[in-house]
Amino acid sequence: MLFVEPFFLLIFLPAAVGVFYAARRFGGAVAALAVIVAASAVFYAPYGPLPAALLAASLVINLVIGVLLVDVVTGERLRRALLAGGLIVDFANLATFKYLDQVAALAHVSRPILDVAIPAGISFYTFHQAVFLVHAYNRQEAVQRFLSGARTLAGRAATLIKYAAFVAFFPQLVIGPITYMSEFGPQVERPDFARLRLRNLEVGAVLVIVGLFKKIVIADGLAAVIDPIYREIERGTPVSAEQALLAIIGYFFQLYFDFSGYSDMALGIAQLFGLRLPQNFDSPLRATGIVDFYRRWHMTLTRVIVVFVFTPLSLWGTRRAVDRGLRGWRGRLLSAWIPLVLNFQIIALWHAAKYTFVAFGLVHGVWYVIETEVRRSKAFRRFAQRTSERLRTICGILVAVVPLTLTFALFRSANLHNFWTLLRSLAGRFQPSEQNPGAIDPWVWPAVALTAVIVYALPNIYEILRDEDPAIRTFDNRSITAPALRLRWRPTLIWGLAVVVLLVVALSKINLPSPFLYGGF
Amino acid sequence: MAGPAAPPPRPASRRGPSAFLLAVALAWTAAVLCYGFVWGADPYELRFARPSERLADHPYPAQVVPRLVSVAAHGGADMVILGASTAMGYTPNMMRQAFTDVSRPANLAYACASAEDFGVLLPRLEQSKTLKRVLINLDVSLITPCVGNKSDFDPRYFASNWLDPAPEFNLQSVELSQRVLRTGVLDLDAWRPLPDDKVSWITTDPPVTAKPDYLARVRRNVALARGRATRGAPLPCSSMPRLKTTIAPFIRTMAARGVKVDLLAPPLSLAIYSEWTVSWTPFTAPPFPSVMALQRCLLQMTAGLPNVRFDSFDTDPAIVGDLRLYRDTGHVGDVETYRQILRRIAAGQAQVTLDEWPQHQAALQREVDAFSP
Repeated sequence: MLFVEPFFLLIFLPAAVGVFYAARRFGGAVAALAVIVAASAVFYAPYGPLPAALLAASLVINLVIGVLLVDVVTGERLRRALLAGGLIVDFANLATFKYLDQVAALAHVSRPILDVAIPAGISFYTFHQAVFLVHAYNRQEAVQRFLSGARTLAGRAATLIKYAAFVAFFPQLVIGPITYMSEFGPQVERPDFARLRLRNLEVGAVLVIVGLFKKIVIADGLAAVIDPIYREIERGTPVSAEQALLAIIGYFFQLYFDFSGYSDMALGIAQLFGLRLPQNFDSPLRATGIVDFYRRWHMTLTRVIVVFVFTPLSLWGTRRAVDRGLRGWRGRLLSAWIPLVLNFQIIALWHAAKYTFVAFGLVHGVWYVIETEVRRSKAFRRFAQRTSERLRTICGILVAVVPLTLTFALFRSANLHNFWTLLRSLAGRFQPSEQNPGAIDPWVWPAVALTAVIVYALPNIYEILRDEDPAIRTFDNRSITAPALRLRWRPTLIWGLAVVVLLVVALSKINLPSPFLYGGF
Repeated sequence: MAGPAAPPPRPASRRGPSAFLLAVALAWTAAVLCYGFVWGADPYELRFARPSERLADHPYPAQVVPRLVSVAAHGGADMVILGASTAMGYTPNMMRQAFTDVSRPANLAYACASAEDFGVLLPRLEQSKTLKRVLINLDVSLITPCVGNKSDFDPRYFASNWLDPAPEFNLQSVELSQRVLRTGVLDLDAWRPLPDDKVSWITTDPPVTAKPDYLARVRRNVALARGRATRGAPLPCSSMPRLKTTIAPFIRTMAARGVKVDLLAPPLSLAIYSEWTVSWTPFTAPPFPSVMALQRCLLQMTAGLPNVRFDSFDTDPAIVGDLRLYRDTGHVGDVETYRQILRRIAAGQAQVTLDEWPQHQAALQREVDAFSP
């Protein structure tokens, strides 16, 4: 199922929420969690039996290893081997079902080896559970408490239900956000878990409807005008400079509104169940640089990669640099630059094994290194002392926006050649060519400009809902919204009508909705 | 390693639902009711057959066309055109003027129609008891993936999926449902302004010859492809299995019922084989032999069947050799040419038999090789 399908929004979701609260009232917390698991199974069923079987097997294996790590196995070597075994199973599963055929295609193997669609959500639930295993290995308090009931038969069943709800909770199952046990576990263990609070329904409804609007109206609206341009390039038809410019700028906004729309809906749906998930986006297109961008874009992936890839690599590099007495740039090379570039390669390849993603990761990695070094330099510190933060913010956005936009277009392009064609088209004729007469409708550029106003001037939904604490903060970012525009949501009729307008506009545009872009990863 | 702590719960105490919640709940409830209404009204007859419903007598917006098949089948349509973009320019008026024995024709052609689509659509069309004529346009999208265009066909409309029981739902479908229930005609005011003979991009774009850059490219490609455009080994019919499993059985069924079936080779311009040879191609095999195989195979599969004809204008240079009639090298753009094609088919002036096929193909090959735009 997709969040934007009318049946999901209008029938499935209200029914699941209603049954959930009824189960809590008449059956207790575990019954409510069982409803979440059952609803998640129904939600995931349309993806097919193979993905469902893989998910179920992955759940059981990871839970068993988690229990062994926390409670049963005491020898350190054996525990380490168990952790390694669990992670190998997780990533082997991911490698087999996601990357095997992609790598075969890169190697020009004539036929796919497995020839199956990538199981929905596999990238997300693999990382989700890999983090869980590491936390179990470290005997993190939240994990220990979560698994503490697994000593009796009934306790084991309850733990399995709780764990299945943690991993397969349908708002976050297919496209995240990647949640830690320390965030989810305590919420479902509270005595007042799943007690109906009207404010949860209100905040959830705001997030769901705003996310729906972002996806259906803005992202899909942009897709309708830019997808044909990318298709023309794939077909080898020349495109005009205006079309190329629209394709590049349009995708910059489309990807953001598509993915953040999903995340808003995921957090909103979780709110309807009284649960808070970690925030995944925080106005990333207003980033003042690549460092700032990754504190605002797909934040739950960033924090996982930072903790599990960058930090160990950086520590290893730093130790090697110290051992060898390397200083200056040689020391930085080992302790920061190489770990950063590798870090971004992993982020890029997490999406798919494609040369465009390799290039995307390389550009972002090198950019991150350069920006980090610039910000450490004395010249930049002097500049920072002499200038206002506001000026630095504006300068940062202006500097960052062009490479960000171009690398998004690289991300969208089918291959490097097509990206190069797109860039070359920018230097060509501005007007549509006769062989590709697809003239751009007069309303398109004003609509793109309006989208830019939404991105750069208006507060994001988490700012608007700031009094309600709608999400777990993953990074603390400073808002740059002008104080006069920092709207604040209130449960009033005016806000109700405003949200209803967004809902009506979205429902008028909904028409066999297209899948979310990140659903393909 | 530890993530941030879970947030504290919100205070439980509240006096009652806020004005905000009431407004949203009201809108949500209205949307649920509308969803149920659309499911029950089923304007496109995706779930229930309703013989009292019929199609309007004008061309439909391109994105709606793939959904019309059931209404055409149950609603009394007596002639349909099936095919892809090269058949989208025919209007009900043209069809009625050319074929005097039909009164309620419908053009069901849409961009990128594929043989897989036909696997879904043709069984629905077979349910019709009123069809007198079917014209199947043999577009290349029946054997190649569609590049450059996006198909408006979506199998989700036709899948009986209990997790998506009313896939056509949106606010427009609510209005459509109440119109259908009230008038019995699948129609909206927003669909009517289409002039009868100006259908979508096919017949509204200027001709190739009015686009100097495009014409220059065509000339360049024809020169570059000289001697190569028609080369390639003949393709076996086994390389197009859907023709045998989907399209040919439908033709046999229709013919056995006495429905007249015309298989039309779309009048592609003589320049297109050069375009496909030099510039881009949707085919994995050489283009000319692929197109010929599509036509020859269906001709072979249906040879000898009563009521079935194969029609082609490929050897008529007044049409396929005149780029002034085309909006691009693949699509006729001239409205009068569309009318003429239907008239000549109706009069039996474009028929090619299986015995004539070798000469027909050889003639076309000569014309393509000699063509100069």
